Parts: sequence; C-alpha cells; structure tokens
Amino acid sequence: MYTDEELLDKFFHGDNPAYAFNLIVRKYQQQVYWHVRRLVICHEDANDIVQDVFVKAWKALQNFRGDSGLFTWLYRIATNEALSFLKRKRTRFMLPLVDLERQLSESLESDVHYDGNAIEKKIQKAILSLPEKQRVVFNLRYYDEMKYEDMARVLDTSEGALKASYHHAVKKIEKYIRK
Amino acid sequence: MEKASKKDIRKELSALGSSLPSAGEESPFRVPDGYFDQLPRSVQERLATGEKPRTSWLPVLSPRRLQLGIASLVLLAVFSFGLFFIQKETEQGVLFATEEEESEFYFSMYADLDPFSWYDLVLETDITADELYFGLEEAPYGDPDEDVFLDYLYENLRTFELGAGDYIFP
Repeated sequence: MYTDEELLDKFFHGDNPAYAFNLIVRKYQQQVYWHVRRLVICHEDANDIVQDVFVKAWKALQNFRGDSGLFTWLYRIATNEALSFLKRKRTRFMLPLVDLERQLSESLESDVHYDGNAIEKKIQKAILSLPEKQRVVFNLRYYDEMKYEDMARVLDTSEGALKASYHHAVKKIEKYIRK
Repeated sequence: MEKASKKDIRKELSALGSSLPSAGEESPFRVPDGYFDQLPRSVQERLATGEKPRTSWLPVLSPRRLQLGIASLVLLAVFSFGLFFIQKETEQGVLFATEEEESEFYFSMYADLDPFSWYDLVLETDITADELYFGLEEAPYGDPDEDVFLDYLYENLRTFELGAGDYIFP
C-alpha cells in the first residue's frame, strides 16, 4: 500500500490525479466510513456523508498544505460533515437534542445493518446519550484508538480538554450501563 | 496515523475505574455486501457528474412516528367529516366572519400535527398542497416539494402569530 507521501506525490505531480485520488479513497474509505457511521448510525446517511467527505476532499486537496497528515485532515472533514448532518437533521425537524438521541437509538434498533449483541447495543445507546462532541471524542479514542495528539489536530482542541472530555464520557457511559 | 496501543487504552479505562470491555476488532455495524468495493466508484461518479444522491429520511420515520402520522391522518379525516356536516347545517357555509379568521382557525386545528404528518398529508392522501394552503396569496402552488412546503409552513404559521407553543412543530 502507498504511503500518504507517495499518494500526495502522485496526486500533485503524477499525470492522473483522479487515479491518485481514487487510491486515497480506497486507502481511507473504511476508517472514514466507520467513524461517520458511529456518529449517524444509519448506513444510508453514512454513505451520503462519506461521499460528501471525499467530494470535499477532492475539491480541497489542491490547497492541502500538509500541515496535518492526510488521515487527520480527512477525519476532520468527516467529523465536521457528520456533525453538520446531525445539526441539519435536528433543525430541519425542530428536534431537541434528546429527541435526536431517541431517533438515533431507534435507528439502531431497526437497523438491518446492525447486529451487535445486547452489551454492544447498550454501550451504543449509552454513547448516543452523550453530547455530540463528547461522543466524537469517545469514539475516536475507544474505537479508533486515536492518540490524543492526533485527536487534538482533528478536533482543534487541546489534549488536556480531550482527556477530560473522554474521562467524562467514560463515567457517563458507565453510569448509563449500570442504571 | 499511528494508533494508541490497546494496552494504553485499557490502562486508561482501568485508571478511571471503568469496567467497559475493550472495543472488539469487529464492528457490530454492518454494510451491504460489496459496499467498499463500490464506494470508490460511487465517489468517482459523484465527482464526474456532481450529482448528490438523495438523502434518505426514511430511517427518521420510525414505527412510533409512523403511528403518530397515521393517528394524525385519522384525526384529520374525522375532523374533515365533522366539518362537512357543520357546513351542511349552516347551508351557506358562513362559519367565519373573515378569510383571515378562517385561515387562523384551520391553522390552529392543524397545530398539533408534526412535520411528518404534514408531509404525509400532502404526499400520501388526496389532500393537495393547495387545499392545505387555504388560498393564501403567496402559496407556492404546484407539486409540493418537502423543503418548499415545510419552509412555507414555517413562514406562514409565524405570520399568523399563533404563539410558539401552538406551532405545528413541537
């Protein structure tokens, strides 16, 4: 598999940028998809958002300066897109946060593309009860095993704040599971 | 990106006194067969055509919301039926002093319907958008588009100043 540097070199200096971009999509599609899917739950929504993420990445890659890694950059776009989607969904239907959480939980129950066991389902519901940004932090750490320094670049937040956020999230999830 | 080690994450959870199990290697979420083989092609097509796939709002229509929608439709049918007889009784149908009073009355009657019910009313019943708009001058006549319709309702319900709690959207 190509390194990020090789892919970017192909994109910027090769004779077929579309092909190079396709390789980038192939390399990162699964990580981006799962990250988005955990946030929006529904496969169809995740699919739309992931396509949007890569379309935006294609348009913005010309201006990519490489200050952050390609992967971090894609995660950042994906996180913003997923959170914007949830915000749009909430405002579109005038839903308070708690109703959106209920809706996502119901999506989880009825999702034909979800087959977690009872414990996994309970953990997912506990995660859905968290505020959105805490949810992102928890998912990035717990599922994606992201280092705080990378997370800080994705979310543009200090490592200390992210650690505090993760710790709060874990406590809340524990409490939810015990009740 | 280099991942944090599972050991570090486990240690961190232990330090927090958490009994959460480590995240499994396999996600409980599933995707349709061959999805990741198809996705790069879908992205390429999007880039070539610039067309955005239609977002599915279907998952939003949970069984509970569907039941609420159906219940609202039944209520509306009962209301319409009742209104028909009232109109017959008054012969000339003079129930309201002014058009504005009539419009206010209808909007207040529909105040408890949620957006899905409105949408359902327009798309899945014989009631047309025109009938729901009650002849208001600015009404965007024609085939109702969900966005246009909801936007229109937002604007006009606010125009009628029914009060925030009375709007159709909870």
